[in-house]
Amino acid sequence: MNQAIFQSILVFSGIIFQVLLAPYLHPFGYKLNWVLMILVILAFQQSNRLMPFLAIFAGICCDVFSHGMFGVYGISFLFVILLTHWLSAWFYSHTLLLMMILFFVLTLLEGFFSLTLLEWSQDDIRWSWNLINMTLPLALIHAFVGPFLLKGVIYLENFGVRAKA
Amino acid sequence: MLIGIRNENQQLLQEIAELKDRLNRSLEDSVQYNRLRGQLLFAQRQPDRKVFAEIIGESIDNIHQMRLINRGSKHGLKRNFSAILREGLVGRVQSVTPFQSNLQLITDFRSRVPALIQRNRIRGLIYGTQTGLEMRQINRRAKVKKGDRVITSGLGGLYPKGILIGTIVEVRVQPHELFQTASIETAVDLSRMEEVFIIISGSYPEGSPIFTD
Repeated sequence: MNQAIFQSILVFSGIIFQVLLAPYLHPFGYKLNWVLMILVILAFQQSNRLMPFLAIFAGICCDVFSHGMFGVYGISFLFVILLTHWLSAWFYSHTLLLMMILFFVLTLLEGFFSLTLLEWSQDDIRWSWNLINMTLPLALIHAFVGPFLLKGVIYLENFGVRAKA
Repeated sequence: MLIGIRNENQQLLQEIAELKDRLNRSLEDSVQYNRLRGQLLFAQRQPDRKVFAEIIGESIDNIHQMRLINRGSKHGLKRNFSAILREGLVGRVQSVTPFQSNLQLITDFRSRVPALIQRNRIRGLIYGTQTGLEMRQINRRAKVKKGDRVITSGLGGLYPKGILIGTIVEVRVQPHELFQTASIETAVDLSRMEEVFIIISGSYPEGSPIFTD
């Protein structure tokens, strides 16, 4: 399967999953950011020129379905994707520990970016409270869920290759 | 003989499964009927025109307290219309599309509701704190106590006057602060809410139904 189509399908699935299932799938009361995890995996595994555009598109979709302010997730996802692309050049082995650290750090950074953007436009957002009580636990959960999602994406990639072979 | 028993057993098991399913549906219908009956009786008692809406989604992030409802501008909804239930205030319509709208709950950190304490008519402002509500800017000398009911004051024109918001569960007075702050428990259980009424503000034709679906 074409890489761009594979990436687009995965991001679309992530958005649908986020909108339909996030309100029901919330371990410890935290809604997981499936779109972010999928974008990070794709940017780490097979980054190309389409990824920033997919990140902005996915971010705008998340903006629509959360607070209605265009650009907050769009910009924060773009930053995270560019950072992931830069980081991916440094690592060549995807060990479990490395991926856990990566998901943890990138989720924290995404939270930092989006909360900062929200704080610029909205008063009384309680930036530090949200970072500690919302983003930090979410980053921890992502650190455990992310590597399994990565395994799933690798399996899907290989499944396509195997079918072709 | 044995084959007949096995078939009969399978039929009975299937029948039990069907009956269990029917019982489950009846129970669900009964619960839903009682809940909706209470809400509709409440809607009929109130003079405002209301639109009944079902909640079909919620905010996908952890920060904002939003709900998606299945009514939009085609049903007469506009931005800033109030959302209520029999139990009390829910929030306001934040954005409208032809067939769906976004509700901002009163617990959203951007929400502000002018309010007063029902017992002594002391005014304050209700702030959403994501996890609950706080009534701030209460006169420092005002006598506020646990269990006081808080209602909308009608100031600002966004929310109609007299809708119950919640009850005071804690009062905090700091020696260096000019005002006292009270924590409020919402009258409506916002996490378990399944439908809302949107109050249609402005004029509407005489004799039109008091609520529409």
